[in-house]
Amino acid sequence: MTEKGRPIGFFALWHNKRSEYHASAEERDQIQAAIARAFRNGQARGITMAGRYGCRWPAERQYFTFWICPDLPALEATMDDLEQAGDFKFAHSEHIVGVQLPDPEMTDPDMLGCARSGAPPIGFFALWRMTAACRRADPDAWDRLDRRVRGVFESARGEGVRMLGRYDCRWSSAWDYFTFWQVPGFEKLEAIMDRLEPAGDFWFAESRHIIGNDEPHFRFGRRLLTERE
Amino acid sequence: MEDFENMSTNPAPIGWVKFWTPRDDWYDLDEAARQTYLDGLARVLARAAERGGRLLGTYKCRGQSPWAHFEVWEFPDLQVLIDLTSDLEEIGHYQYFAEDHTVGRRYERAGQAASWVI
Repeated sequence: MTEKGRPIGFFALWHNKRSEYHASAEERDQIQAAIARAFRNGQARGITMAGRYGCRWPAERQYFTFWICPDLPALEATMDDLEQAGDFKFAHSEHIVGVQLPDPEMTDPDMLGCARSGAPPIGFFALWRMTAACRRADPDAWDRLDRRVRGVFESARGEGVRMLGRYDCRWSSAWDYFTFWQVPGFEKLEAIMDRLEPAGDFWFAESRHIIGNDEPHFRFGRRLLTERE
Repeated sequence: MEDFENMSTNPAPIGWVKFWTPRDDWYDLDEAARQTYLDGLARVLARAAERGGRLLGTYKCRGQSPWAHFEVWEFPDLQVLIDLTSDLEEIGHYQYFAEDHTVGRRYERAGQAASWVI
């Protein structure tokens, strides 16, 4: 994995805890400053942080983010910093990691190091694993279906979808792979799903999808921290 | 935040299902604080309604679900839903209630035997 020099994809999905609503303003400010330092340390280690997305409305969580890390130690060190900062005192998080695969049809190389500014506003994270139907299928049927799905991906990228790679998470989760996309709009994402359905994508793989809208400002308790970023 | 208001070209409404149950902080509120929340909620819901959000129904499901209630809504576009969520944050809604959601586009089912799409 990391010894082969492949980047690590990291997806974090979280919501705030009760403690956030009961924190003092002083504690809030201290924690936010410490978390900001942890993020800067992570970026100095070469981690690209592809935005923060709000997902209260389509999910059970509050926010998610996606990072591309040069290796696992860089991620581990940044998690240690966040632990020290108190991030997990106030947030209940789910984390998923995977090794980036050489898959040019699902990777916009120009986007892998992109800054968050100017990114399309909808974040789309997909986990999937192959179904029994996929494993039973003959190779010709698999190739035919895969070409159709890849064709949908190609047209989506032509319509402005940024694909930040495909990642192997068989070693770290109950899923096989994940990907993260930045999509120009919700309707665009719906249109892509409408094309993937007849292509058979959801016949040969079962998926978990999480979407969110770009949220430039973080909310701590009830307060939107617009002055901090 | 990005403005999604003008992105929609599809006239079909967005459906939203919201499962919810009270958290400890709701049970701990005194009557005056509950009234303050309820007054805020009424303003938030009125704003959503003014912008085309429609609460189709609120349902009790305590006996047959891990949740206590669910609601079914429709919105003319995504921005109204996102703004409703932000307005609920402002009144401390998620301090008082745990929720899960799903969102989707209303459509007419027209299955055809020649396709697996239904």
